Amino acid sequence: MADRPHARSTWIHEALERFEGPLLHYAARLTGDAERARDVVQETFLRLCARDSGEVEERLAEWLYTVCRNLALDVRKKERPMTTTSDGHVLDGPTDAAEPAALAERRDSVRAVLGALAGLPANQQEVLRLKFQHGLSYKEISGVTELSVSNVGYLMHVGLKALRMRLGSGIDDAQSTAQSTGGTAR
Amino acid sequence: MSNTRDWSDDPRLTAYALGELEEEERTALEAELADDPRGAELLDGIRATAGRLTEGLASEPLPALSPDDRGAIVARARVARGGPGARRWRRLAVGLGAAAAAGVAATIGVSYLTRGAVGSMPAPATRNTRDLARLEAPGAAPSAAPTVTTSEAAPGASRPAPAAPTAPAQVGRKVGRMQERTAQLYYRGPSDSVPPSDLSELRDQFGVPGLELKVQFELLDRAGERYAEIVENPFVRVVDDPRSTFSIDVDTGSYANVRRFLNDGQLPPADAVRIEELVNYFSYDYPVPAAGEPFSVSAEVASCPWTPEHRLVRLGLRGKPLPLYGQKERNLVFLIDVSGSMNDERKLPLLKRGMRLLVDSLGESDRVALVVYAGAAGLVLDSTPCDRKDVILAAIEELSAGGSTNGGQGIELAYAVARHHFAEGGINRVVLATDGDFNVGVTGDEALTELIEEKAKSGVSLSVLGFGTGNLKDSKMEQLADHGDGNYAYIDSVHEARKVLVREMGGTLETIAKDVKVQVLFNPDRVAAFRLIGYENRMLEHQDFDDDTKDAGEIGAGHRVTALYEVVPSGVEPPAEPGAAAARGISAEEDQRLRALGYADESTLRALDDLGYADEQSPPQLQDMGYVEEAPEAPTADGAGGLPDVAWGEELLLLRLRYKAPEGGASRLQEATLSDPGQGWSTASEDFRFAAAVAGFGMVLRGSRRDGDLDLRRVHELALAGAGPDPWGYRREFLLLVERALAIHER
Repeated sequence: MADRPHARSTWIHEALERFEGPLLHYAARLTGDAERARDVVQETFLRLCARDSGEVEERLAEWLYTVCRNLALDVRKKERPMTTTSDGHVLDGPTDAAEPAALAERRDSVRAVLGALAGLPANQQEVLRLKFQHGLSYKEISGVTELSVSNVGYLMHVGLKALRMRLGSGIDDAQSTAQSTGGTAR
Repeated sequence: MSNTRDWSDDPRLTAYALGELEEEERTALEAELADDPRGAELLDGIRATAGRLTEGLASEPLPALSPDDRGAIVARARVARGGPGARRWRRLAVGLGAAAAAGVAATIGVSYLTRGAVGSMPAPATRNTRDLARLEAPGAAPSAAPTVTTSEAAPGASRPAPAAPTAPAQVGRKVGRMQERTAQLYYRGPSDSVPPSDLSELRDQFGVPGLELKVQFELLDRAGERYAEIVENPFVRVVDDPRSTFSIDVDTGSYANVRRFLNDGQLPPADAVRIEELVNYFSYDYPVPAAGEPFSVSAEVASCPWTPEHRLVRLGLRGKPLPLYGQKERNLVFLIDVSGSMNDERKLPLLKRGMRLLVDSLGESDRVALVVYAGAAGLVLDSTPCDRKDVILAAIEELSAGGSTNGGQGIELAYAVARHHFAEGGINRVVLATDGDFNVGVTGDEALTELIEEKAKSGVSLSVLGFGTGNLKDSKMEQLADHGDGNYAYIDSVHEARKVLVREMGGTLETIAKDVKVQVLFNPDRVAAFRLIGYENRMLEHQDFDDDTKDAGEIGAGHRVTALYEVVPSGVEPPAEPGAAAARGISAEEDQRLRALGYADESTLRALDDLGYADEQSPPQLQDMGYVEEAPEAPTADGAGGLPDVAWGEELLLLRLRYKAPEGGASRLQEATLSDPGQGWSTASEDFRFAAAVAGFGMVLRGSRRDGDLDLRRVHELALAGAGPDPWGYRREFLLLVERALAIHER
C-alpha cells in the first residue's frame, strides 16, 4: 500500500486557507497593486514550504506577516515609488434608493470610518489594520513592523484618537458624522 | 478639569482598552482611573471607535490567489516534505508529550483524574477501585503521543505526488459564468476562477454596492430560518436530584452560524446560540489518550467568573488522534443539493472548494462518489478511487445548481452507492450538503429519519454540512445527522470548509466510540445545586444511561468534547428557580430510594453517617481522587434506578461515562471522581478561562438570566486572558467576534 505522507502539505494547506486572503489584502495595501500582491503572497508561502514547521508554528501569523511585509517592501522599492491606495475610493458606488434605513445607517457608518482611516498617515493605518483587521497583538505587530512595542502602542493610540476626532466623540452622533465624512470620501 | 492630566495623550489607555497591558501596569492604571472619571469616559470612546473600526474593516473584500498560484505552493509543499518534514513530526511528538506532562503539572488535584483516565480503561472482570496517584508509574505515561507520528514520518515509501490537478479550462469558464452573477452580491468567497487582475477590478467586483445588496437579501431571508427553542437548563438542587445525564455532542455548527450573524452586523436570535457547540468549536489541550484507549477524560475546577461564590467545573473528553490520513479506507458518497437555492456564492461554490481540498488530501485507495438531487436525483460520479483524482475534481467542477429539491430519493441513491462500494473495516459515509431547503416529498420526516437510522445500523453513517443563509432548517439538519450516527457542521466560509472537511476530517469521518453518555452525580455534602451549561437538546432520562438500547452521541478521532457545570457549593444559597421542583419529574418511589441512599437533607445524611454507612466502602484513596471501573456486563436494573451506592468523601462529584465500541455490542462503563482543591480563577488554566469565556459569550447572546454580572466587555477580558499561543488564530477570531458583538450592541 502506498504511503500517504500528506501531513506536511496539509499543514501548508491549512496555513494557506487561513491566511491567504488576509495576506493578499495586506500585501495589496503595501504594494498598491493586486498583481504584485499575489506574487508576494505566493512567494511568502513558498518560503513557508521551505521551513521546518516546528520553527514557525507557535508564531505562524507573525512569521507570515513579517515575510510578506519584507517582500512587499522589496517589490515596492525595486519597481516604483509607492502611491498609497486610497481607501475612500473603495467605498464609491451608487446607493440603492430603496434600501431600508438601518442598512443606510450601517453603510454610512462603515463608509465614514474607512474614509477617516484613509486620511491617517500610512504607519498609523498599518498598525491599526494589523490590529483590527488582522487581529495581531501589539507584540506581533512589533515583530512584523520592526517597531518597538511602545511605538506600536503610541501609533495605535494616536491613530484611534485621530479617528475619534474625525468621527465625532460619541456613538450617538455617529450618524450625522458618518454622513459628513462619507461626503468627503466620495 | 482641575489638576488632572490630559488622558488623551496617554497610550496606556488605548493599550488598556485593547487588553494589551500587563497585569501590573493594568492594576496601576486602574488605580489612577478610579480617581478620574474623565479617563473612564475616554476609555469608552476608545472602545466605541475600536468597535466601529473593526466592523468597518470587516466589510472589506478578501481577495484570493489564483488556482495556479495555489497549485504551485501545494506542489512545493509536497516536494519539500523530505527530511525536514520527518523532523518536524518528531519534534511535534516530543512537544505533545511535553504539553501533556505540563498540563498534568499545572492542574493540581484534577491531574490525578487526568492520569487515571489516560492510564487505565481496560475492563477488569470485577469492579475495583484504584489509587490514581499510583498510576503515575512510568507505564502510565501517555505513550500515545509519539505514535501519532509513525505513519507520517516513514520516508521510505514516499514519492512525490503530482501537483493538485487544476480543472480543465472550459470547466473553469463554466463556473466563472455562474460566479459572474453572484460576484456583484458577495464580497467574500471562492473567487479563484475570476482572479481580479488589479485592485480596481477587485474593487469593481466586490465593492460596497454588492455588499449592500447582500445585507439586504439576508435581512429578507432571515425570516425563513428556523431554530428549535432552547430552554436553558436551570439550577437543580442536589436534595431534589443529584444526577445530571446527557449525551455528548461534537457538533460545532452553531458557532459558524453565530459568526455569520455578527459579521453581518446583527445579533443572532437566542435559539441559534447553542452554547455547547460554541465551546466545542475550539480545541483544548486535553491529554492524548493512552494507547488502546478510545478517549481520555480530564477535569478542572475553579471559581466561576460570573458568580464568584459558585464553582465552575470543566469536563473534557478527547478522542484518540489518528494520523490524518490513516490506514482505514474511506468510502465517501457526497449527496449534494443542487436545487436553485444552492446557486449562491456562499453555498455550492464554497462546497466545491472544500471538496477540492478534501479530495486533494485523500489517499489513492479512498473512494469518492457524487450524487446530486434537485427535481430528480442523479448519480453524477460513480464511486471513483482517488488514484484518479483528476476525474473526481473535474466532476466537482461540473456541479451546478438549478431546480427544486427532493431529498428523499437522493438519500436512497447515495446509500445504495455507499453500500455497493462498502469498505470492509473502513469508513463508509454519506455526506449530505444542503442549505436545508429540504423537501422529502411523499415520504415525510419520520420515514426519512427511519431510513437514516436503519442505514446507520448497516455501517453507513451520515454527516450533514449546512450552507448559506435563510431557509436554514438548522434543527432538522442536526436531527438527521444525529439519527445517522453522524454529525452536523455549518459552513459559512472557506476557512470553515477547510476546518471541517480537511482539518477535522479524521474526526468527522472516523467514529471511535458511539452512544457516549455522561452521568454526573454530585456529592450532597459538597454541592447544594448545579446546572449544566448548554446541551439542552441532548439531555437524557436518568434511566436511559444504563439502557443500551437508547442512542446517544458519537465521538470521532481527534474530537474534543467539553462540558461545563456551574456548581453552587453547599453553604451557599442556590439561586431561586421558579418551577424547577415541579419540572424534575421524579416519582415518589424513586425519591424514596434516593433518600435512602443519602441524597436527602443534611440531618438524614448525618444519621446515615452515624450508622457507619458512609465509611463502609470508602477506601482512603477515594478521599482524594478515586477511579472506579466496572466490567462491561449488562447493567443491572436494581438499586436506585441505576444509582450507584457511592460512599462520599471529600469529592465534588462522580463522573460516569458509558460508551460502545464503534461496532456496537454492550456498553462499557468508566467512572472517576473529582475533588475540588479550591482553585481560584487567577490560577485556572488558559484553556479553562477560554472555555468559560466562550460559554459566557453564549449566555450573554442568549440573554441568560443566570449569567451573574457578565457582559460582553467582561467576556472579552476573560477570553483575552485565556487566548494562549493560538497558532491558528481561532481564538483571536473569537476576540474579534466579541468586539463585533459589542459594537453592534452599543450601536
